[in-house]
Amino acid sequence: MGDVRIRPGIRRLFGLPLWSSARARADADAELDAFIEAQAEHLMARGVPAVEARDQALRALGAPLHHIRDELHHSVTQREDRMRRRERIDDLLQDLRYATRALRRAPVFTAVVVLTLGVAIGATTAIFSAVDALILRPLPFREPDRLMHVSLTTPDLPTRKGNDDGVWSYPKFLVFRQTQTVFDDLALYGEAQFNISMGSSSEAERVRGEWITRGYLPTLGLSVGRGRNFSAADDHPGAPREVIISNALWQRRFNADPGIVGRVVDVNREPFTIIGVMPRDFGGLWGNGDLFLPITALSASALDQPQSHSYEMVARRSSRVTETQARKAVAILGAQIDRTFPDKRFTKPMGAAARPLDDARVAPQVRRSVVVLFAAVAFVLLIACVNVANLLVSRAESRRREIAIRLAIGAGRGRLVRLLLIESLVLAVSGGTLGVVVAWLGVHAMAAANPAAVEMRAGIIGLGIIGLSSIHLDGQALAFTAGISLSVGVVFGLVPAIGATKSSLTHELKSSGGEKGARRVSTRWLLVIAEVALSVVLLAGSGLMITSLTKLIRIDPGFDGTNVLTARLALPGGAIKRDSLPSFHAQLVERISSLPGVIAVGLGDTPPLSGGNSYTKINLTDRPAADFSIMPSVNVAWATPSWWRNWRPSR
Amino acid sequence: MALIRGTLDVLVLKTLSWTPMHAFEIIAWLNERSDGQLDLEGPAIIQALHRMEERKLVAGEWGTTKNGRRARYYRMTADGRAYLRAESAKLAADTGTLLTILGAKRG
Repeated sequence: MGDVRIRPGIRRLFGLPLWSSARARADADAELDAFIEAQAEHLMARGVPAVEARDQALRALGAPLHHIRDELHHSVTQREDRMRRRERIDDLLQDLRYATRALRRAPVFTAVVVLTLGVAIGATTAIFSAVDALILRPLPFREPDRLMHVSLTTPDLPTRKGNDDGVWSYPKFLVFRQTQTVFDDLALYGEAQFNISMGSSSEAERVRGEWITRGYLPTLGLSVGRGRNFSAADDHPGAPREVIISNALWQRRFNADPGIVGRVVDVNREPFTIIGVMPRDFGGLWGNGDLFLPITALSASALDQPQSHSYEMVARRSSRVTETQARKAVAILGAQIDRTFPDKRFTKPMGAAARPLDDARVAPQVRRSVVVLFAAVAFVLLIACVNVANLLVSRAESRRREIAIRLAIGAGRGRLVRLLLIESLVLAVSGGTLGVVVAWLGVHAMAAANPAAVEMRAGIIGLGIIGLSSIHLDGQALAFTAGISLSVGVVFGLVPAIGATKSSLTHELKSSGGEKGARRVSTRWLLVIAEVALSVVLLAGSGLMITSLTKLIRIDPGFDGTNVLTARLALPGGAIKRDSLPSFHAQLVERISSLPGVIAVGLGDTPPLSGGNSYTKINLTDRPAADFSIMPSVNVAWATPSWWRNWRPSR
Repeated sequence: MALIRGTLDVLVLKTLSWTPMHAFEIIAWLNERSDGQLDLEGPAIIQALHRMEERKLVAGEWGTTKNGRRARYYRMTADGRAYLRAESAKLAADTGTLLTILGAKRG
């Protein structure tokens, strides 16, 4: 009976081996032989002698026998492959149909699981996007691991703590640049704001930008999108006034004019020639910069003060030098610079320190809160998974009898596990899909939060180029979601599926259905215990966080800020003579006061909560003059008399 | 006579619409019906049968001939019958169009 043909589906049902390709080829051979035989017999019946009949039959095939055999073998093998593949897909589709049908019959269960997973996966993905953008993703420059941030360090004073992340002055930078040998390239950069206009008739605009030195772009491994970079010829006092603009400004203000290079723009009322456009999406290390001017365009008095520190330094480590070697070399140079420009304020020397630019990308506070947030959200996801696992286990429990009956009538255990697995995968993938929607909403909310004001004043965001606006859902975050969904589906589907199909048939069929094995119950108890434990930790943590937040909100700033508006006033250097400034200010206050709806107007340099002001050293006239290093320093806030009328005490 | 593409399947199905046959019976029947005008070769028929078996238009099964030899018999399935009906209608229409064009007179 070896010749009996049984359809593959039936073969599978009874556990018979599928047709092998060899078997299919042998079958085709037999069919071809039978055909030749039949043809020969047909010829003999017409009187052809037996000897010739077979030859004639072979000739009638139209091609040599082995050719035809090969061809038949080929097509038969391919057909078998196709059929097997199709059958596997059919099985899968059948399981999928069955799974969705089963889930639709339990809508509450399905909705709870999908919602739980969706929210948890969505939140985790959103926070992962933030972690990815703020911490994980490499800086968008060539060989970013060779970039270093170099700072000046100041020693502790009796009145003030030392700083290991200080900024540079131009004279100290020049010495450093001339004497160092560990960096291929280095540059200063400093944040600034500029007023720009095109001729007197056009509208003036206030833009962010940076003062830079010529090594800025080469250090970062960038090159201008069009035009040219500053050269050594532009990078000295008295050089022609030249500027590089951002791609964004070029698009917005100049309509992407292809003839932009050579045009003149007024920066703080002085004409500057545009010599280049920055690469797309680059707004300087401070972020969102539109205008880049050589530091040497500053007045000479701003450049020749060795103790007037205001610029950051970025440097590209030479490939021949290790990070440790670079750090050591910078420390030695720091001491050397202090000997060249000693600072009377300090009894101990100032120094210099280098660290990877990547460490400076996000302020430590931000890094810490993002990591804490991620851990909290991961906890939520874990709890959600345990919850879902619990639901899946109890669902598998309630279906034990159904599963036992299926096993009894001959369903394979593997097939049943696969069926249950597909069911949980359908749940997980639906949850993941909902999660993408939740994540999309979350990421947009985060990217829209714009702490630009905070970032500039308190400097807590680190490199502006890694601002919150750089958070977005990308392939990596989506891969993360897909990974979570699939592993949730496999792990939390496989465990109950294997458990449910393992039990002995007779026991299940005999049991009343209410009776459960003690071991299974203990698994569920473990899940419940884990869930409660996780929830308690999370609840305690979030409770503390909420308390801190409410306390923070309840802090009384000491004034009532309702209906108080602030505006920043920046006059370009030389726009108004120093002598006429008081009358200008008085006129300004008077004209704003006369606006309808205005109750009080004041000018001041230190609005409340702005986080900083200038300070100065004082000498008390009734005491002998102290040494500069221990002279008391006091904060100074300038204001017009009317300033105080704005700040009513808080209710 | 060369066959138009796709017509071989229809011819084979037509043959099988009377009774299940094996490959040689099919070819013999077709050659007889066409007075030897159809120059069909065995391998082509076998390939066509395999193709249609995969598409479930025919179902093959080993059986015994009246001479007591083993042979693979093909029977037309319900799908095959529906396919034959649809395709022969289409062929008839196409042929009609072709003849109309070829028989058209100037003017």
